[in-house]
Amino acid sequence: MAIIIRLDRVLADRKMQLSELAERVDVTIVNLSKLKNAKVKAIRFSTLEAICRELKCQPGDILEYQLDEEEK
Amino acid sequence: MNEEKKLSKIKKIASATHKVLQIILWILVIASGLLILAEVVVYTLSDQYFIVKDLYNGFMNIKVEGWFTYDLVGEVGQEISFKSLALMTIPGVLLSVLFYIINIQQIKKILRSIMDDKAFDIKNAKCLSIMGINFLSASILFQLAGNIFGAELFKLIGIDAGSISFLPDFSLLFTGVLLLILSSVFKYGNYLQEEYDETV
Repeated sequence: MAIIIRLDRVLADRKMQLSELAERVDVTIVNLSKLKNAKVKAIRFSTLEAICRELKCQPGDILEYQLDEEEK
Repeated sequence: MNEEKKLSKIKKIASATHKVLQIILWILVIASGLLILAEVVVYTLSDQYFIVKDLYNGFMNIKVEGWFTYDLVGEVGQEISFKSLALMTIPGVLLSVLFYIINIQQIKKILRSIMDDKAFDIKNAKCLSIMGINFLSASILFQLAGNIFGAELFKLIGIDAGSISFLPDFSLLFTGVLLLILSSVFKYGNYLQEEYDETV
């Protein structure tokens, strides 16, 4: 997938555990883990808003677009 | 919260229905076993046990689907062995029992998935397909069995029955088609459910 999830990087910068973030944004740790590992197909704006609010970051800090090798 | 209450109510109804169907299923399974046993017994018994004397005191009438009644005047049903009819009847009843067993099994699986919050599981689509095919088969087989039975009865009592109709039972046929359509709807529902589940 061309969208790269940088959640683990932002969590490390903020020195926050995934479980703590899961509790704060009211998403299960399983789903958040799937998000971190890019195992999801879509993210709701409400979830993205909650993550950005708790991590005090921008959506662009968590989501990165990288052109696929094939498309290059 | 209102939706949760509705869902909870649906699950309770599903649970109660599941239990009732379980009981009915066991009764049908026992009945099918007894029917097989009865077929064996009828087969082994001598014809003399199936001879009917003075059946209708000299006349018999045949009703067709409640549309008309045909009166047979004269001595019928005397000294005729109805063993062949008995041998045909039991498999016919067994066929309808199997029809219900298959349907109840599939409905139980669907109810179980509803109780487990998996209403749009792909297995439910398969259950509906099985039920649809079951109904389609029954629409042909039940009619055929009835016609063959009717032809044998007429042969026994000496009536020239004419021809056997091969038209299916349209109510079962349309129900089968509807179930197959529903199966496709559930497959799409499963796809939407997966999309929803994979959205964070």
